[in-house]
Amino acid sequence: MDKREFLSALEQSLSVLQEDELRDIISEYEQHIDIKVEKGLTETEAIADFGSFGELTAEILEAYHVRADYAADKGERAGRRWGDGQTTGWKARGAMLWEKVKTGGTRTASCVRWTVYQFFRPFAWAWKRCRELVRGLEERRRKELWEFDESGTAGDVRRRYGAGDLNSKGGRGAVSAAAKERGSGAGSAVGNPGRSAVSSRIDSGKSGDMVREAEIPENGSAGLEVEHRRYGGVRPEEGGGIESGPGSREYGEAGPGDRNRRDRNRGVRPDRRGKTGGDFRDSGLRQRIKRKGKRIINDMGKGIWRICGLCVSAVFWTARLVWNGCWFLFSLVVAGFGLFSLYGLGVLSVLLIQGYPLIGVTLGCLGLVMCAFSAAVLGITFLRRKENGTIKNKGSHSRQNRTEQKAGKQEHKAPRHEETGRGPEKKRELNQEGDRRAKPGDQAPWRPDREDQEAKAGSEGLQEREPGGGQKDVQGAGWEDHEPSREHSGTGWSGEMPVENPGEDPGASEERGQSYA
Amino acid sequence: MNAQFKKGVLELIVLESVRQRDMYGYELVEEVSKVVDVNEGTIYPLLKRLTNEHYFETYLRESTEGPPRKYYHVTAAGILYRDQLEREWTELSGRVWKFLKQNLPDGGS
Repeated sequence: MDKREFLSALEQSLSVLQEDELRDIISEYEQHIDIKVEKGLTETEAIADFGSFGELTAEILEAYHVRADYAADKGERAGRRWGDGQTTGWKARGAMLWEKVKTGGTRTASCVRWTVYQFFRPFAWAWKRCRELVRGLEERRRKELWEFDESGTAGDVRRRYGAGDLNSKGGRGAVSAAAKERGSGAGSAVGNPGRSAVSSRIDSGKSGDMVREAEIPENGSAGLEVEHRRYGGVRPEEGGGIESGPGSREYGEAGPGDRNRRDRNRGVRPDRRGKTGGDFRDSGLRQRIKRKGKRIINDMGKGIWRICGLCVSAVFWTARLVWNGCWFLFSLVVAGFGLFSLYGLGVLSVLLIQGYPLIGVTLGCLGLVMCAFSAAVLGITFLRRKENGTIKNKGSHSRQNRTEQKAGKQEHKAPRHEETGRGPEKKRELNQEGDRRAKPGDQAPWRPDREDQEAKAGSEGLQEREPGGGQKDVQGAGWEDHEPSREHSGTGWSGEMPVENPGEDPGASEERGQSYA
Repeated sequence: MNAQFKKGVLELIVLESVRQRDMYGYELVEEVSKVVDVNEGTIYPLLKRLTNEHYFETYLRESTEGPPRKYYHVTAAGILYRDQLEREWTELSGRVWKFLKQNLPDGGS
């Protein structure tokens, strides 16, 4: 027990006393211990001379007419004793703190682990799904190839092993297997050697590669000849051969009869040529895998792009908010100052009328009022609002100018179509709404009427449209109400815009048109 | 020595010691220890009680050996209390001595 512990325990036991009294007692005992230590004793020995801690505290409390058992109860409740080996206040506190730190650290670690897990969970799921998909496709391909082996012929070996790197291990194995196959006899089904070659190709992942028939060793030529005889006797180098897959025409086109015979041998219906396994099995599976992989990657990319877009939007939104907030506050403050100045102006005016020489001050106040309100209006004009996907300044041009610009663009792009009623396959971008309704050969594509547009450019508002069509002048946009109609004049279409919903508000339609721009 | 005896005379000894000269706590403990062997821890509570009862008053005096020390000085009430204790102690000890003398086997002094 050292001095600090003893004094701490004493302080805790005597906490019922007043602060100054407690400090006084603690300082006395501390001084006593220090003097004893100076005399040569240790702190422990000095403290031991005080006797029992409980009796000591009881006597001290008795001096203040406090019940001695009060301190004892308090000390027991706090779980602190002196001299009996149990933990004291500092140690207990330290232990409690350590427990809290450990608990807090454990909780923090678990929170961090959970957060990381939640963040990477979608990626892990996507990776797992990709792996499952690839495995599933691989298994399916193997199954199909094994089934294919059952009904395959020697020619299938060629189809299976397309051109590729024959110097590779898989290629050499395939060639030797094919040669053995051919050497064993013509027309024989692909037996075990072919199957082993197939499996080696599968394992090497090079199935579907093309093997030039001319590179097959000569000892397999017997089978080759038979095969050529089967397929019309046309040697591959002469242009005969087998179509081995889309985009991989190592050989010439086989005749239709040859192809039918070949397909029959394979058990493939001619009408389903190229649709089931056979030639396209390997490449089809690979393509499917590639397509699905690309789709997954595309989706993930789109998701990430969307998230990035959202983050950017959030940043821009925050920046806009701060900008608007600052300018709004500025305007508010300045306007308040302006009002105050206006009040002062009023007072000065009254005084001026009464004859006080305050002309200069009044004029100055008037100037101040005007400046303040001008500054407030200026601040308002700096507010930026988002409109139709673009950030527009509040003080920017109105719809009128936008309409003019759009009309100008439309005029520049829109062609003149004649009455022939050519389909809207050209210049569809001009009449996006019309294209939805327009049918090829049914109506001519829309084009704005130039005269109407020029006359009405610069005006605002729309006239109400009548439901059910009819041509109405639409001001401001140069668009005319239009319901798809088969009738048209000899001069061609004149600025007719189909109405999606006849009963809708013209303003909504214009906004839609603007949004397209 | 019996702790209760020591406890009984401790107040008187402390009052007498401080009456002779002002002392601080440790010095007083040493002075009392010369008369009776008491637990040092009990001196301070006693000093505190006597101070609370206004028999002592305290003051700080600078010390060259360390921090300022709190000295105890007996008040007038303390002196009166000390005199009373002395009378009582004298009377008690006389009676007890007399009692013991009467019962001594030899009946001598």
